[in-house]
Amino acid sequence: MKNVISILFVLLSFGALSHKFYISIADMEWDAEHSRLKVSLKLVGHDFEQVLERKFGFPVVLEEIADSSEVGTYIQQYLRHNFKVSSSNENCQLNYLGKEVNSKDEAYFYMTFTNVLNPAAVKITNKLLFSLSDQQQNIVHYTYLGRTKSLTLLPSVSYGELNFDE
Amino acid sequence: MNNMNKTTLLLTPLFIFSFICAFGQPEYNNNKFRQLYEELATPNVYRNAAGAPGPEYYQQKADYNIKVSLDDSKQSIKGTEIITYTNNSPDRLDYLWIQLDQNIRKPGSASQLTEPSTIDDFSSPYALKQTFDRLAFEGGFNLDAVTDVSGNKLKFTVVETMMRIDLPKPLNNGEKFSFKIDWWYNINDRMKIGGRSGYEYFEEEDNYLYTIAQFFPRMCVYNDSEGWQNKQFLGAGEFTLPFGDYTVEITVPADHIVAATGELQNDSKVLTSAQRERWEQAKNSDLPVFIVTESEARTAEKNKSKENKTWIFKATNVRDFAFASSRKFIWDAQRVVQETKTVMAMSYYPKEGMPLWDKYSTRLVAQTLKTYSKHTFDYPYPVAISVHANYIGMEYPMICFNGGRPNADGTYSERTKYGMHGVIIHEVGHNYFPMIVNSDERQWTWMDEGLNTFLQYLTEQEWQRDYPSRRGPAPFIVDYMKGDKSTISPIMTNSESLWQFGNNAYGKPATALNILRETIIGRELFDFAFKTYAQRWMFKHPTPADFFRTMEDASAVDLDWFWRGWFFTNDHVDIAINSVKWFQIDTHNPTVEKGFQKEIDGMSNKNISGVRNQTDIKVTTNEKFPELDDKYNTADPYEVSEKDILDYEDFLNSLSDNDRALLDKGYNFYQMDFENIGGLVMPLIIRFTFTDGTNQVIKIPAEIWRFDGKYVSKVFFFEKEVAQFELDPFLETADCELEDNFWPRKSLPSKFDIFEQKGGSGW
Repeated sequence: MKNVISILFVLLSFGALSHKFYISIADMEWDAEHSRLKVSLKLVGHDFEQVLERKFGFPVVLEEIADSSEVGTYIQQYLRHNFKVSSSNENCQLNYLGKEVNSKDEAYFYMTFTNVLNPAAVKITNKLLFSLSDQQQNIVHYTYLGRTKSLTLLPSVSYGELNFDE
Repeated sequence: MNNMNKTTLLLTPLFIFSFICAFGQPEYNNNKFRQLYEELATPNVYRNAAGAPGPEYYQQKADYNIKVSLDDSKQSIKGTEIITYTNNSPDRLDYLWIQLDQNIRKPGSASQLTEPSTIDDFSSPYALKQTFDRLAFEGGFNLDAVTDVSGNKLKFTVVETMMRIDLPKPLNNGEKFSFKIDWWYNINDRMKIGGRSGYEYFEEEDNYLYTIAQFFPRMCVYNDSEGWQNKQFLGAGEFTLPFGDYTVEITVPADHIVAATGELQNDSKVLTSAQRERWEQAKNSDLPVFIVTESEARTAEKNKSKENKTWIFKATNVRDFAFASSRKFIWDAQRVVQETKTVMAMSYYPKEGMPLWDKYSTRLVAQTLKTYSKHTFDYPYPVAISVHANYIGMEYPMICFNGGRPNADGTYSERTKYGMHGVIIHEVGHNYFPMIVNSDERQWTWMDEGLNTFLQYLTEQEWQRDYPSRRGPAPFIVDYMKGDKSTISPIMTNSESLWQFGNNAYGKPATALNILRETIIGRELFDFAFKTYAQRWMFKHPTPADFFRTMEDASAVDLDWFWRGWFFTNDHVDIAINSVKWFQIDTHNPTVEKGFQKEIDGMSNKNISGVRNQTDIKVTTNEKFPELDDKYNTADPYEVSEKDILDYEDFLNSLSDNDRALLDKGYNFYQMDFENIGGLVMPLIIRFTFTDGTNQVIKIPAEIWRFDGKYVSKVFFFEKEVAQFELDPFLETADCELEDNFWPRKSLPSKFDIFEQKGGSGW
């Protein structure tokens, strides 16, 4: 089957910051009281800025991006597009709450997922930053009723399932 | 106190505890504390069992005489070199192996072919362009001649990134062989196709900034542990190089400033008299002095000289040579006074690096030399240079290329500042590991990156109080180590096969060393052992076993269990307090014990029939007819009888004074049951918080796990009553799951919860 790669051609010349820590950590926890998945997502701030710079064609400093701005809105769209949770074959809804960046270049994004039909078995797709580096690994830790299971998602296998019923 | 049952401990007057030990019979020894012999090479005459060089330790020597010229109009480099190779090994060599690392940029190289890719690599215009640019670039060495010094052709065979030269006659122990190679290659645009070296193009003014390395055919290492290095360069496993002396003549446009490994030999030919005067000032200054000022650099940027100049450098006892060249360079320098040698810390940067680079770079170089030297040896080279090359961090002897550029308007974020600080400290620090303590990077990335990242952390903390270090302290590695193990390799994995290069080879070993220093060995003993390793292997080629053995040998701490767990497995630390049981000694004092029994009985729930009968049955027959009473139904079970008192007196008389005193203390005994969930055995550091608010910390060495690596119990006793038990209260063991470190269990807020409680939202 032939798939079409859809790309928008804008010529850019931003170099990639070469480092050796291509990793993101998603900490997810089921909040039974409010029927929601609580998520904090940590990734390398500069890497995420690279993604945004390639999209917009100008330098981006995360601290200066308001969530309501054009770039801020795109960030939420990017998260929705690349970080997905589904349960019982139905997509969960991502509700974006906000972000933080610290001096260690760690960018945190906070969100919840609702419409989780069976929180004991969720499928997670995490393609964040895969377009930036082949070495990117996206680690997911999911805590359900006090137990934690983990997944590592790679460009070659970008989704997986965590099942607490097994 | 919740979740805790107080039980009376029945102790005989002689306080004899009896217990039964049950040992399983494993089919093979998988004890966490078994000796590491199987994993390490057998000690021999080259490397001894103490971890030091043995009596017949040897290493080869490769001296270079290189002439290169840079073509600024074509961005290419052309060179000729004479390598003089000395065979100090006891072995006869019939051929030599040379490294041709530029060949990873040859179209169709193994590096390109073996790089996995997914469609994501083609899914953005940037990624697409980078991929096509990389494939199209005509890189790699072009060898014009390989001859002996008289010009006779030598037979050679190129195998990807390596070349074999067949010797006209075998090279025996103690003999030298000189040969000549002529070559040229196209320099890569780092900003487009990446690379540890290359150029950055400044479009506005049409200028180039070159950072040049791996630019000449270099000797492979031949040694007792590997023979000839025979691992091709695929791009990740860096370099393995013998020591030698270098004379390098670099011809560049006359308006360029050159920074290089070694000492400049002909300053009168390449610097102005004003610059040489400033250089003399810098040699006596403890703060940076400009040698080339910003205005001089701005002037040089505007014109392009048609003339050339040749800069001559000499470097002694180095394993490599690199240089940077640009007409954009500003240059500053200061001295760093050490006990045995005063050296120069220097920086070269384009104006685009200001105001970060003029303010911090050279002073960070000086700080790095100060902290690293304290933990190893005085910096032995004459100069230590930091060159600003955007986006990267790459190390060579005496010189490194570092990123961290302010925004175009001169502002910079906190992250850019500390990113730049960290990369300069790290890359300058590489002078010690692996440039001087010359480990085999192609085999083991952690031996230089891990040790270097550890010292980087110590340096950052001495530079600025509470510096936001990204790696070092135990809690920072937890996210990476816990959870899914399918893509986590042990630290002891070859450089080209590492998953998560940074965490695996930088972060985890650095954390492991910090844990050894803070928790397992202690600062003083650790520092002595670490320094011993550095000094034993200074200007030599150590292997992992040499490091492991020296650290044990010099500290008298058996670390086989630690190396095995942290370096040879991908286990993590997760130790849980499974339960705590509370006991008190049976005082035999009827007043105390019966009172206690009454209290306990009063606490227990009554069954429902009993509760209802209390009210439903208004009066029983016995109550109606008291004459039915006898001693059994009227006695107060908690009343202390005369016989009880007499028995107690007999008991007391049977005790010695010491026994009686102990009994009077009223000790509380707590049996704590621990489970090792993560696999790594670690010390048990427990904080006991008492009901009166005071606390006490008790540290149990990891050897408590030596019989059973999975479950262990330990009894603690105090006169005070414990309200809270807490494992690893100072976050020093990298325990990945903190909630089970508390008894009674404590629920800790997640990062998400904290954000939500702050009323967090976007801005």
